[in-house]
Amino acid sequence: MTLWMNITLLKRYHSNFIFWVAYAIANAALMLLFVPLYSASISAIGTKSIVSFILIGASMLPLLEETVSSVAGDANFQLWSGIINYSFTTPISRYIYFSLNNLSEVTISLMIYSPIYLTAIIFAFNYLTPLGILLSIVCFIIGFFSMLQLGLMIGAGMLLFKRVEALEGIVILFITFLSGAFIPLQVLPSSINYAALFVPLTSSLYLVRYYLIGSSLIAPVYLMWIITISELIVFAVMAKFIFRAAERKAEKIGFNYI
Amino acid sequence: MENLAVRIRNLSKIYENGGKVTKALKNINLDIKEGEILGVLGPNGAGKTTLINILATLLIPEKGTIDAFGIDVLKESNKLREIIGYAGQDSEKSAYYRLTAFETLVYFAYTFRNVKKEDIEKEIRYISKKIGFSRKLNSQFSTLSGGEKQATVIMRALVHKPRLCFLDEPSKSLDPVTAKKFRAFLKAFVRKENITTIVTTHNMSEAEEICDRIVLIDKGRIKFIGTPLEFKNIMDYTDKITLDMHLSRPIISKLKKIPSVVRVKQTTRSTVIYTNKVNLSLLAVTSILKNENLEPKIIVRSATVEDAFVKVMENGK
Repeated sequence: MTLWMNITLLKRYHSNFIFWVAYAIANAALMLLFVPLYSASISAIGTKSIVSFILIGASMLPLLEETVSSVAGDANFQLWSGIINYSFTTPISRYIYFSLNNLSEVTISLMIYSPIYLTAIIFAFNYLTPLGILLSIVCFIIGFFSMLQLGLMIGAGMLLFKRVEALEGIVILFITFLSGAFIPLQVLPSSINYAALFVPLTSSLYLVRYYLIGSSLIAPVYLMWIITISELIVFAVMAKFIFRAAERKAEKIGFNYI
Repeated sequence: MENLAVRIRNLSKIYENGGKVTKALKNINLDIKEGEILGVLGPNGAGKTTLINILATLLIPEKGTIDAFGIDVLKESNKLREIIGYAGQDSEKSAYYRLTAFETLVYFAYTFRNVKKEDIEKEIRYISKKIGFSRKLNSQFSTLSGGEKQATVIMRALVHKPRLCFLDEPSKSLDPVTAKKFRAFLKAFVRKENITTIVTTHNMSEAEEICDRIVLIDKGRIKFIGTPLEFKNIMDYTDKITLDMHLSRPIISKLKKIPSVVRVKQTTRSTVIYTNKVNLSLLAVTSILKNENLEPKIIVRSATVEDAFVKVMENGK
């Protein structure tokens, strides 16, 4: 339903769609130019393809940042417009409604970022194995759902505290610098590595790289899996709880007061 | 006995804002019959929208119970949302503005289970034709006028044929022609589909025209429940005879002595005779005027729901 709406809108604004594709291609091209300069400093991190290493991080990061921010953006828009009264009187669970909306936006972003993924795959082609691809997809999905829960928490925060852009900024800042997407954590002090392990996205991103291109990990593989899955469970429980609290507040005071 | 659609008992709602407590609803008890159109009337801030928003699961009350078609509205709100349609007051920004009116209707209809694409598209075209909205269906929501946006919002509430429909001031932004078409359509459509409909309105003639019963709320309490006719009967007259002339005291005294005349009121330019037997009064009035060689313009008008509303509100002050 929400995917239908987003694709309908994407198709309607042709020029914007062309710009998106151009952006993705330019992004991939710039990354390719940037990699030789960057690769010398990160050659010690242990990976079969530095190009793919960077491209995976560079494409997963904005995608998952969008996962975090789009729920809050949607909640904000719905409150401002009053659409929330209509989405909240539909039979779909409000939690599911926001999740689906988010999922549809990320699905479209996946399509937009596809040139970058394709480039990453071309450079990693010789190292890909069916099991590696499968496990990396699983890790990506778990990472995505963790970020979605984080986004739902921030979206619910919008209902609870009216404005939470600053919190969103802090979360995205930590993810940008400590997820290892741009700056490999292996080149940073080990104390930061331990802290970074608990930053959402870090473990799933490292596992994706590990299974696709054999990049080294910052902790034993079993521990990375435990952290990845635990993050999803903890975030899911917290998101459900905070979302329900926000829903109860809205039902108590009325949306016009939010 | 007619089936009961909604049963509300001891419903109370309080708003707390910045330390200020407002009792929006106080111990409301109300039964709504299946298939009826219930008009909720009341002055601004009376609690009409609060009542509708509680029924539509947007708000939770502090106290009370609501049963709608066997569903506990407060405990099984997800279940209730399967069978309701809702159109709020603020239609200006109440849809994704880049979607067309048609897409908006399809999008929200898809959130309901068992809704078939072909059926819903057919229904959208049928309703839009009935209310004269067909040519605007493919316009983007943001480009629609206030009345057209309102029409979209109303259609959104009805298109999936809910069992229970809430319309909060539905004809507020509609022009008189569209409003007339809308009222005729609404009455016929909800009858045909057996949709129990709750309408809030400030438009008294609308309440009189479409509602089977009306409930008058003021300061969170129910002041009256009954048919529009019963509502009008709370007044001591059925008709008003207006003469465009100021009359002398002796003539006024004669008019007051007519048995069916309830009272006579004078303004600088007119005289209003309130009666509960209009034909008898009219004969007597014309006879008195003839004897006095007076020929004023005479206008006869039945008492309206608006008259009753004003009376109840004034008595309440």
